Amino acid sequence: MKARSRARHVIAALALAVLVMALVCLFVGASRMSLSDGVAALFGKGSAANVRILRSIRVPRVLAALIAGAALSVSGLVMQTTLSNAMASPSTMGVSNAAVFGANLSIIVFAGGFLSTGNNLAGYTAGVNPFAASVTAFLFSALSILLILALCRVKAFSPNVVVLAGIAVGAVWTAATTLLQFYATDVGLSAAVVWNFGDLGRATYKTDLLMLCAAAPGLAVFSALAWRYNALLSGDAAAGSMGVNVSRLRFFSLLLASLMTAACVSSLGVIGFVGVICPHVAKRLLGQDHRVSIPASALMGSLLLLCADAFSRSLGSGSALPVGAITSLLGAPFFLAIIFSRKEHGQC
Amino acid sequence: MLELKNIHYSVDAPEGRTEILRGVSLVIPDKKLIVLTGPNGGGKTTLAKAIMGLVTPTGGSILWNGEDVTGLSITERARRGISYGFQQPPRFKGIRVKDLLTIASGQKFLPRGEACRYLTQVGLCAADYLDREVDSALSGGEVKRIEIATILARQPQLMILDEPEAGIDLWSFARLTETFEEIHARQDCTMVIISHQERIISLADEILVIDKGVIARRGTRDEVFADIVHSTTGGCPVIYGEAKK
Repeated sequence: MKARSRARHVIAALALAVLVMALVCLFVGASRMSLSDGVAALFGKGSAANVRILRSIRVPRVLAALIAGAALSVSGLVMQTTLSNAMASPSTMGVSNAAVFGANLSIIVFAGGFLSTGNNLAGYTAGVNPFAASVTAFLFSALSILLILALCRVKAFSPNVVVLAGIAVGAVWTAATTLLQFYATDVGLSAAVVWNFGDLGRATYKTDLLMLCAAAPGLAVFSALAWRYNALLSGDAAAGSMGVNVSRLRFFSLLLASLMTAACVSSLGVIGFVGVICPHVAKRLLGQDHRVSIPASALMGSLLLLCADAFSRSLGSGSALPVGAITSLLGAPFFLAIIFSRKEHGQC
Repeated sequence: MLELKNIHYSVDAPEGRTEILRGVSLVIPDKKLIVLTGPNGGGKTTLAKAIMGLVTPTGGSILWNGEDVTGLSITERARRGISYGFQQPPRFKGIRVKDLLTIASGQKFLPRGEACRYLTQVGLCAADYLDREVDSALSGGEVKRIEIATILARQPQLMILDEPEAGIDLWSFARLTETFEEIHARQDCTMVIISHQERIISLADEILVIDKGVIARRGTRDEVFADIVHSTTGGCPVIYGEAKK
């Protein structure tokens, strides 16, 4: 009973911290808008500039942090469990590498649009289709996932085979991206590199909705499968003997986790390390029971992205630094502190 | 009824292709308790794993209640009522004993009393273990007994246990043996137990001595037990029937 009570308290504390950080990100910023003006702007009152800052910039940004943080973190947790590999994360499946290639292809070859202006300067400034890079990134991520899972089906989704196939296919996407960038113009290369930075500033209500459409069903399905993940902790054979179809569970979990990641990466760019840090911290604090570690990881992911966003905006003197770099800068020392702390509540 | 037809299993070894099972054929009627015994490396565990689907035979077929299950996975066999207790229990982690029993039972909610009963049947004091997390603080013997409790919770039609006595203290072993006896007396399920313990062997309807990948000897306790002697020099069991040949 102690463990359950502790889990409830930790999850409640995390939820509170997420709420506080969301409010901080919403009402604190470079515009130095007062709290009362901020609240009024949230409800559409006050100056048009304030309303625009809050409703068009900050709200989608905070929503993106909440959704993408939860999705990336839980995707990492599920991948670690299904692959029995503590270092597994969305990048293990080459999802991010494929998204980067897709986006780079769209930006460098198609100049941000589909078959429009080609590799020339005018196309980048014309902004033929602002969503083209995201759509291409998602398509290539999905293609990469399906390719890896199709390959691994031959070996009955053996965890080691999946990890190795993910690393190999990821390396191919990275090499292809390097070749694309080698032949890119200066402007194309700059645009492609800027896209690669994970940036919450890219969030709009449309991208938030896209991410939510992938994340919400994913989180619901993962929560419903928590028992099966718990059984899988005992090993494939033991889980199988308890009636868990391990191959099918592994296939659908990896597919869903990868699609969730693809939706986030293609909308916001590469935000690394969330899928590794947050599940580990959640498991350290509360143990491996997925009924607890799934919600805890989701909240932890949202919290990390909100903190990283607040930090990146406070350092950028008006312009936010790439949140993808900040998540690692903020998360890694905390992660190391957790790993080397003496408190033991389960293994990583 | 479980029927094994000419089961072969071979693996690639540095010294060439090695046959672990060499044409094992066997019929186990429902509700019987069969003990597999014999020297180490004889093929007992491989045979049990082949029945559970943990290894796929390289030849022959396995029929369970008339259905050919040779190509079915462990999951599909588990769903057909076959359960397996590992020689080395799995490394359960991060989960409470009661939750583990609930998963095993396949129910959304396992009444506390029922969970207690399964633990008591394997000689564990339910009050001490039910809310405890299965982690590295538990001894190997405790984990082994918890694993057997999960098999009881599954209420299988065919229970396969690989050396259930391994790592278990004498008192718990006595309780476990009583449990096997009770299950057998109630005719709850068919039981295939790999064991070297006389108390378990004595419960068997039939004993099969597996050696060098074949059934070297089979019969009732009285027929087989007297035939098994251990040489004092090498410690290798010698089966009189074979030695005389």
